[in-house]
Amino acid sequence: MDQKESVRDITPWDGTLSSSDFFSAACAFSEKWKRFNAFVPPWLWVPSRKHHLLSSHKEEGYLSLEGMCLIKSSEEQESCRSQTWKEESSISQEEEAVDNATLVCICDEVNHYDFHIVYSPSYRVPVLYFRSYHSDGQPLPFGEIEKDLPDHSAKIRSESKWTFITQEEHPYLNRPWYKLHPCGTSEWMKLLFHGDTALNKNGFVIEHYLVSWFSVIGQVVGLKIPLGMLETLSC
Amino acid sequence: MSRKEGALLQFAPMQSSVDEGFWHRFSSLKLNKLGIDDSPLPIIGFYAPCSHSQVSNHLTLLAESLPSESSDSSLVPEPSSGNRNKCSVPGILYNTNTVEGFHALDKMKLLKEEAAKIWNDIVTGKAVEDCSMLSRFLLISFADLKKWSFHYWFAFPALMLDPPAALVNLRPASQWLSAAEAESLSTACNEWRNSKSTADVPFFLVTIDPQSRATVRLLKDWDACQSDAHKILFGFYDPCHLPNNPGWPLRNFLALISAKWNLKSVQFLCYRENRGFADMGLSLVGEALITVSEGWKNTMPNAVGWELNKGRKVPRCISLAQSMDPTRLAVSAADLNLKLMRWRALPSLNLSALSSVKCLLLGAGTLGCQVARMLMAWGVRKITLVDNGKVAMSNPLRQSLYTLDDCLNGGSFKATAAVESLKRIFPAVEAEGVVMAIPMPGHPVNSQEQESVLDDCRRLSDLIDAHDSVFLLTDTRESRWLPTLLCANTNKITITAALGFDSFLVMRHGAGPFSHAHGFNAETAISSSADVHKIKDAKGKHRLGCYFCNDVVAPTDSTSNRTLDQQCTVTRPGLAPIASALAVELLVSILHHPEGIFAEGDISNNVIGTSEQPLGILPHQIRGSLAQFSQMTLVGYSSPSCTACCDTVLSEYRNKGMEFILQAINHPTYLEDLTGLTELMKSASAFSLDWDKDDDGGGGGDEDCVEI
Repeated sequence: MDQKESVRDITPWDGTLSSSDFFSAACAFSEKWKRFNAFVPPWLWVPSRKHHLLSSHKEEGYLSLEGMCLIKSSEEQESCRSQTWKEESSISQEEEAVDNATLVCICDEVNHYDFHIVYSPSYRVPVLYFRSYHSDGQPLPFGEIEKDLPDHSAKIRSESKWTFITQEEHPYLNRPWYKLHPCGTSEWMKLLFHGDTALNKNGFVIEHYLVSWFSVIGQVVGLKIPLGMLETLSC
Repeated sequence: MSRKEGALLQFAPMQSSVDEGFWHRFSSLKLNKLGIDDSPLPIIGFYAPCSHSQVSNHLTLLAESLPSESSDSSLVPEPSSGNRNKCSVPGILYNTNTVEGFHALDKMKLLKEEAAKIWNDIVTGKAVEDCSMLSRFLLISFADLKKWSFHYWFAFPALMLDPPAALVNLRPASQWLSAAEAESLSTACNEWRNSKSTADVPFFLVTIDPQSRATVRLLKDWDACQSDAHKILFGFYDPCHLPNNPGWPLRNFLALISAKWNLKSVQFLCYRENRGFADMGLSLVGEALITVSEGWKNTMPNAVGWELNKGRKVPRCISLAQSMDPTRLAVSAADLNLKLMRWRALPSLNLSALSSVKCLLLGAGTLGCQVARMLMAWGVRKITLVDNGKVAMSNPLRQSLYTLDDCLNGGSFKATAAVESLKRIFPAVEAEGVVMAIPMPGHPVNSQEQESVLDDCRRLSDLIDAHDSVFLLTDTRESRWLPTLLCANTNKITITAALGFDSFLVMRHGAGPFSHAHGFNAETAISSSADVHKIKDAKGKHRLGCYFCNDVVAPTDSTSNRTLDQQCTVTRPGLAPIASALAVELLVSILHHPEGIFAEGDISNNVIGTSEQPLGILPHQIRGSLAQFSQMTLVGYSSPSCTACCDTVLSEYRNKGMEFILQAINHPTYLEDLTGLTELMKSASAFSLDWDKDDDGGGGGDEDCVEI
């Protein structure tokens, strides 16, 4: 362990993380998040179910934040999901008993968002995956998601060639999710910790990696990081 | 805010939410295990208390709601970790094999059957033991696995009280309880929710003693509660967020309370949370009045519960083609790859030009197969292959679209087999195969074949007209003649690849001599008759040459009377892939050059500097040698006596059409006479060309890049 640290001191850091470092960083991040973010659901570690030939790494998995809700105002409730459904399969009034005890309510349309932070072994950095769906489970196409993203998100994505959203297979769930492509991550992570090779000591980088990373990435999808969490970086 | 006494107690309906993963797993289960078996399938649903002041929770189905494929299908797997957010309730799925079957299901009967199970659990006491039984549900569906769409309909059976219960009052728990009681209850609830054994028990009893201490207990402790209780509440996880209505699970809970314990007045707690903790402001406490008759519990009550779809009693439909259809997934992955190239390395990459260019490949052999694959890799979707041959046993090794299966039973037609192979690689490709021979000069036809040969000529002409770019990838020199002429006549992008034993030529033809693709203007007619050799193209620049411009002989029959190894394709295997790749890259460069086929020919040099175009230089000819592992770029200009592209020949073609072609095919010296090559021959005594067709010596001296 000592040797590894001294090597880290000498060689300039390339902005990437090892898989086990990611686990430590994830633990630090979710714990800080809970501390500073009383009003938002916590990030949970989900152990992976991928099989390894050797004994399974307990540390393999990803961070998950699910169930963020975005309530759409009534003007936005288009029938973009309109299904022209013929009354082939309805139930006539005579069949079902008359029931006044059921409340008839029209609920707001809600877009649900799930976010996962997954480690990428080929880029050696974390990657943000996300998806959105209506309350009944119907997934949202990207065009709809774009309407939910904050205005500065489009600006960031068009200006920076590092940040763009693509649709790819989720590494653990084997279904297409949207993700922020990781090709530039190591570059701007290097910049964030610029010049502070002293920070490499004592695992400082690992502990604060995800906080710094998220302070940038979160902006693209409109997830805010509380000031308190960022302030811990300057100590 | 309390409600008026005696008002009807109205329940907010349960809402369903089906995660994509459920349909994915169900599709897989149906395809791999269930087949056409449509017997009912037990499934698990999940819900949790509401945790958001404005959004209700739903009864959710996830992938793990279904049995896994490997295990015994009657078992339902245990839910994964985090079960405080996923209280499991039993359900049943009726999936039909046809949409008609779906509509024909007897919905009332199915609802009654599930309601009967709930009633039975209440009467026998099983519901007290395992209270999640009270929220049992029903799902009917039709999974269309061709279109990846799913029709479905949930029912949440609720036993009806007759007459319905009345609501005495309903208000936030924090208003009904004292401060001390509220705090104690919050703590007790949080403990209940954090304990693995009770976290997912959705119905419970709350007792509050005179010292304001609250205790949360299981339903089966009812008798024990009687003695020490000061206040008793019937609590349940309420998924609903509305401030004036309790959620659906209360309905069957009241039925249980009435049938089992005969209570007339029921104090209930709609337990709701905020960000994971008990919240007495969002939770509601209410009092219901049950006025059913004595004999009510002797017969099974009526039931309601089919979920409404935007207020209407109709099923729902979800389409998952976007995320499940493999062809669509392949297309978006391919597009992603190209976009990444554009974003990261080449912002001026014109992806729409690549996806819309129509490519005609003459020859589906060693070169044709590789060119087709490379084109697809660049995002080209429209590919037509022309070949009249069949796949032979030796082909699959060098012709990358074929396998042994294509060789059996005499061999499939190459054009057909190639197209099938392309579609297997990338289903969204728009590929067509044409089984046709290309008419060639020097291969005379008799009068019976004449009409069919003319048909082939016209067909070839039509094909060339219908495409933007033509690749000449055949195995003889003379088969390239007619396509070259037709392309020069219409100014199509024409790329030739030709192989020797260990050397290759890849080149793009220059533009033709006329400015318009068709149409015959008087100007050119006059100039050709005045014998002015037009070497400039429509833009007035010196035209680059075609494949035949360097020839001093017309293409003749090179295939007969040759020894076997000169007739067959005998080249170093590495040559075809190299030449094919260069041919495709050359096309892409042309498409990105603002002047297209009119662009001048560049020569590569060692000067490291920025080239004008982002993709680099645009050469005219690339000649390579594997013996030297070397490659060079050359420029050759058009010859005024070219048998394929000079204005004399083209004017003659425009004048006489197919008749001209036929003459060229039948009389090999016709072209030389026409272009004046014959004269050139006679006058240049320095040339010692051998006209004797029987000569089988290394034909033509240093013509190294000619055959095959």
